[in-house]
Amino acid sequence: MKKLALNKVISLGVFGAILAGSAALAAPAELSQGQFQLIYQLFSITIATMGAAFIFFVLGRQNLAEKYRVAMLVSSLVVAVACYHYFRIFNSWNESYAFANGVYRATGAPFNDAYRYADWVLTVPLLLVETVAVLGLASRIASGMTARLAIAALAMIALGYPGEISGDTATRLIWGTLSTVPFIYIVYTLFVELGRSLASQPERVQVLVRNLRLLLFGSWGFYPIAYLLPLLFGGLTASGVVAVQVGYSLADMIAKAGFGTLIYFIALEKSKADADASSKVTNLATAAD
Amino acid sequence: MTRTLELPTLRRFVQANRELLGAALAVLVLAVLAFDALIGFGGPHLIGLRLAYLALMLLLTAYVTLASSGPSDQA
Repeated sequence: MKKLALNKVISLGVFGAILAGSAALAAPAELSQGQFQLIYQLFSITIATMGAAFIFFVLGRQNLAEKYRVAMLVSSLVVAVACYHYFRIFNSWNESYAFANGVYRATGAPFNDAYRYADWVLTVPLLLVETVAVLGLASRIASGMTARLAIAALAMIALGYPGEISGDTATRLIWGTLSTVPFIYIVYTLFVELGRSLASQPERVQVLVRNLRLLLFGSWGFYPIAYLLPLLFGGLTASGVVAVQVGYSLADMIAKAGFGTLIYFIALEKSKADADASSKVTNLATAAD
Repeated sequence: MTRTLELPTLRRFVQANRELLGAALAVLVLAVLAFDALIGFGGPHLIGLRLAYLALMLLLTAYVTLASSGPSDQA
């Protein structure tokens, strides 16, 4: 009973924190042509990557056993939602600056980076859920783990946002540190669980699951680095904002499109392994008759 | 007591209608995105959008959890 009450308090706290962080980012006053164009091109590439991944996941679903199609549906939704948000972020970026006298000057329209955090509210828990789904863990283990990972993901995003929109180093560090606690929990849990599940996976799948662990570690590990990059550039200055946007866009492409692609190949191998095992059972039954 | 009786029924229902429910949820997600694109769903602070995403996340998480557990898990 006490555990239930504690869960409710945590959920309400996370929910409140998600709603609390809601301001848009003030755009730096001036950007060089190179800085503006770098972000412009990177957002375009990210939109194209997410769109292409969506088409690939939708078409690839039919190659998988029915059991694993759910994970690909989630992958498709994750990249579709990300594609839409990058389109909005891209538009907001263009509205925030106007070219004059060889530089890009802020127009006064705020750069709405809140779309990135709104995106993560939906896509990050789903990325975790699809990983658990495709591993085919027993439902007793999977359901408990899914709930814990989803709550940790929401806490991580909610705690990161107040620091993200702050140009103050101390504020950024405090919220960043708080956000790192659920982040470490998620990465540790997935890393350990992926490792534990290795033994129960078909031989060909084991290599892919090892790669998934590395990709998870590499891509997710990049987010806190991107978060802290403005500290190297004196806060949310032109270089600081450019560094954050480059970091997050690259991490998003790897963590969503790249991760989803690897999930697809794991699901494909597992579909083949399941079909092989099923045909062996049928053959044995026929031989016994 | 009620929960132990209802959960397997719900799981069976979700697994029997996996494709249909998946398609319905996908349409729901796309509808929320369309609303946001057309009328700025949630306003400048995106609070409405975040609420909608929280609800969608809970629905999708429940769906994936119920739909992806194999028949052997149900015993």
